[in-house]
Order: sequence, then structure tokens, then C-alpha cells
Amino acid sequence: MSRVSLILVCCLLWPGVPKAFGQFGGSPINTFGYFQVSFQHQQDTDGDDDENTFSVQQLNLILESNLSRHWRAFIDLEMLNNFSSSRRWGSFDLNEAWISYRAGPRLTLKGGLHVPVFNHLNDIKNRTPLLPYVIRPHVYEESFGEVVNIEEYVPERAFAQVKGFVPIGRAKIDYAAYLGNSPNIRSQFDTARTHGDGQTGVDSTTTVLVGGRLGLRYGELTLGGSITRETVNFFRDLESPLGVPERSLSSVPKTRLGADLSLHLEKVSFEGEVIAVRYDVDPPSALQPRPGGGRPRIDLNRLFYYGTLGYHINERLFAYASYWFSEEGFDLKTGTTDFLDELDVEVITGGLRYTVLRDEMGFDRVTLKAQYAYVDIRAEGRGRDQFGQEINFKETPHLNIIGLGVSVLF
Amino acid sequence: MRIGNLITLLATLALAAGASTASAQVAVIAHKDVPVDSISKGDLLDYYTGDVQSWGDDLAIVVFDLKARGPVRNAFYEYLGKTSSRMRSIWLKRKLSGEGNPPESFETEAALLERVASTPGAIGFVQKSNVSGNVVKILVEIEIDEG
Repeated sequence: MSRVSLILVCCLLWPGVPKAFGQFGGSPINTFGYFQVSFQHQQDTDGDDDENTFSVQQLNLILESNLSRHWRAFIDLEMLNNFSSSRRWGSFDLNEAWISYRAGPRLTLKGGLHVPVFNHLNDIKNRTPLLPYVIRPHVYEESFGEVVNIEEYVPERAFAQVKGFVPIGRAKIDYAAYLGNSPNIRSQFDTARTHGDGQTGVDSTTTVLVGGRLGLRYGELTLGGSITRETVNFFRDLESPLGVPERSLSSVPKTRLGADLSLHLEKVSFEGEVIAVRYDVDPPSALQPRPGGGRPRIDLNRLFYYGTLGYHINERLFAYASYWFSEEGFDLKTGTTDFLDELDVEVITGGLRYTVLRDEMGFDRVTLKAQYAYVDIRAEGRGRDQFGQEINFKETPHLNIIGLGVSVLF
Repeated sequence: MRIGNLITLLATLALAAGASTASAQVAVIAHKDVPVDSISKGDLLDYYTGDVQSWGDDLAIVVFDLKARGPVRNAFYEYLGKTSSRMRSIWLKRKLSGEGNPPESFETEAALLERVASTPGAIGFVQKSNVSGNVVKILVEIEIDEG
């Protein structure tokens, strides 16, 4: 039986588990979850690549138990994009499996797989009932995970975290610090880069992810700054084409810097973020100097920001307008190459969220979402790459996307 | 007779005027064992958002809420400076993030009062006129302007 099948069987058998656990005198297990189903119409302004599609964008099953007053266990299983193992659609992830110890408001320890705190949206990006979007800001959109490398922008997994807040007058200083694996995870799809065959899913290097957030809360104003630091080895792919010694590009430090701000004023809300990603590549001395004597340059930096302005029209209806922008660049200038590859994505979007069903606790159980997005993409490459090939392209597609969604909390 | 009617009319108007400016009170109540006799607005908000979950010793704070909307519930959350939808959003985020469960809520003030009285560390809110005897502590009194 495959691992995926085993997990599915466990899910089906789950209703019998709480009783069994109870026989050991433990705490009851709370089982709940949510999913979002959507219809998306995508129209290329050139008339090409038009698409209409339904999908279960995301389904999360959560198992949670208060082991004692201070201890809590939490498991989050996530299925994306109509997951089907037989048809090889979508994905099924163990998104979170952690235990926490809350000593008090100033200190909570968390151990196990979890989504770390980074800016405002990262650790709640998968909680679709909390968000008004059919399509989230694109570097946070899990259902785009096969085409957008989300982890390039935000840390998705950590294994040890300490967090809490310190009150100072009427303000609160939030802090979080965490450790996790570097991105150099051994995968059966990429054994060459990750030091050959071996156990998959584990870090194949001795480096770790280190990160944290420091924030301020004052009434309904929240702001903060985030940082992560890790070392990546995928620049090794350039070693052979550039003719530099092995392992001279095997450990490149990567830093993510983030800033976030959110504000709620009566019926109006605003949230915004900035993320900058920097790779500190130290070009090997074996590289030939650039024509004219300039120092070789290898850059793969990224920038993303978004801002969403929202308005609660009434208790059930929420409207928003949002702007998202990302830019990525691969700049490779050595004695033998002079290449620049750029990708800018700009999105102007807006939408509505309407609560259809609210339970007696007041929680939104069924929510309708509608969203329109105008997407402006600019992809440009020019120069001669590391394989000596002349590259010259420029594409500027524009997309109109209409999304209709239903978010269900169960 | 006319004078009698005039007096009756004036008395009725006076009573009506008095009624329109009279205000009821919401009492923030707690179990008798909680180690405080009053509470600041900031602390109360921390308890209801789940930021603070303990009375400072080993006694857990158990927060209760009312299901029905009405002047008592509205006055309480207005006092805290939060709308109902904002509180729901905060609680849902905590629940979906595994940081805590929303408050247990009750259909009636009588049921809430009874549970606060019988649950160590409990805190809730009811109309003050519904608190009788000495079964709970009153930590805060909030005016409801019914005018």
C-alpha cells in the first residue's frame, strides 16, 4: 500500500479514533476542516490560452487535541487542485504536524512541522475561510504551487519555533523565532543536486533555515518586520557550464526580508506586505572578468508586494480592491556570458465575499466569493546564456481572470 | 377634572422621559475564586481574544459568551472596542491556527450565569439586574444606553 493510500485509509477510519484515544484517558480529538471550490475563467487578451475550469482548489482536514492545559497537538492534511493519486492531479501534503507548549502569553514553544510566522499572511495563507480571495496574492496562492515557486518568497516549513508577546503599556511587542530545514531537501525528482540517492524529504546539507518576526500591535494597528536566512545549493547547476571548480557555488546564502502592516478602522481594513529576496552570490575567482574588466555578477533576486483595501458593507458582505506586484531577475554577467532574464507580474484585482450561512457561534460556514483580476505579465530575456546560446525574447501577455468560489468550514 | 388630566399627562410624560434616559447595566461576572475584584478594559480584551489564558497562577481563564445578539452582547463588545465580526475573525484565526478555541456560548443569560458560578476561573457577562445573590463576582459594570 502506498503512503498516500495509507493516509487516505487513516482519514476514512478517523471517526473511530477519538473513542479509542479516549480509552487511554486522553483528551478528545477535535476534527474539523474547510475547503474551497472555484470556477475560474481565464481570458488572454490575445485570444489565446482561454480557459474555463472548475476545481476544488484546496481541502484541509485538521485534527487537534488539547493534551492538557498547556499542551496542544495539531495536524493539518492538505489536498490541492482536485487531488487524485490515480490521475496524478494536484497534491496531498502533510502540511502541519506539531505539538506546542504554552507557558503563558510571553512564551509558546512549538515543535514539529509547521508554517512559520513571516509577515502577516504566511501562516494563515492556507486558511481559506479567513481570506476574502478566490485567488490569493500570487506568491501565496497554494493552488499555483506547480507554476509559482512559493517557497522562494516565503518560508513554508519550520520545525521549532518560539513565539509570544510582551505588553508595553497599551501596545504589544510580538516576537517569533524559528528553525527549519534549508531548501536542499532530497527528492526522488532531483537526486543529482541533493547529493545522490538516499532518504527523501530530509535536508541533504548541514545548513538550516533561521528566521523570525518582530512586530507591534497597538489597538487595531499591526506592523512588523520579518527575516529568514538559509543556504541554497542549486547554483551548483551553473558550475559546469561556467567552467568553475565543483562546489564553488554550492553554498549561497539566501535572505528573505519582509515588512507587513494591517489596520482595521470600523468598517474599513487595510493590509499590505513587502518581501525582498536576496542571494549573496560570491562569484568564484575562476570566473573570467567581464569585458572591460568588470567583476562577474550572478544575481537571482526577487521582490513582491501587495496591498488590499477592504470595506464591510454589512455584517455579511465584504468588498475589497487589491494590487499585487512581483519581479524576478536572473542576471548572469561573466567573461563568457551576458544574460538577463526578467519576469514582472502585476495584478489589479477586486472582489466580494458574502456569508450565506453562519452558525450559532457566529462563524461563517458557507461563504461565496467573487473576484476579478487583470494580470499584466512582462517576460524578457536577452544576451548570451551560460550554454553560449543567444537569447532574445519578449512576451507581454495580459490576462483577464474571473473567479467564483465557495468556501466551506466544516 | 381638567387639572387632574393635566397632572396625569405631565406625570406620564415625566415617566416616559425618565424611561428614555434610563440606562441598564451589563455586569462582567467571574467565578468567586478568581484572584481579582476588578478588571481593566485592556485585560478583559486580552482574555476574550485569547491573548491571555491564565489568571496569573495555575487557574485557567474560561471565557463564556452569549449566542443571541442583543443589547447586552452588543454593549459588551462595544465596550471592548470590537465589532462582533472582528471578534469572530480573531477567534476563527485562533481556531484554524491551533491556538485556541472560541468561547463557549449560551442561549440565555441564566445559563451563562449558572456556568460562571460553577466553573473555576470562568468569566462572562450578563445584564446586571439578572445577577442576584452572591454567587459570582462582578468585575465591571458597563452602561447600556437604551435611549
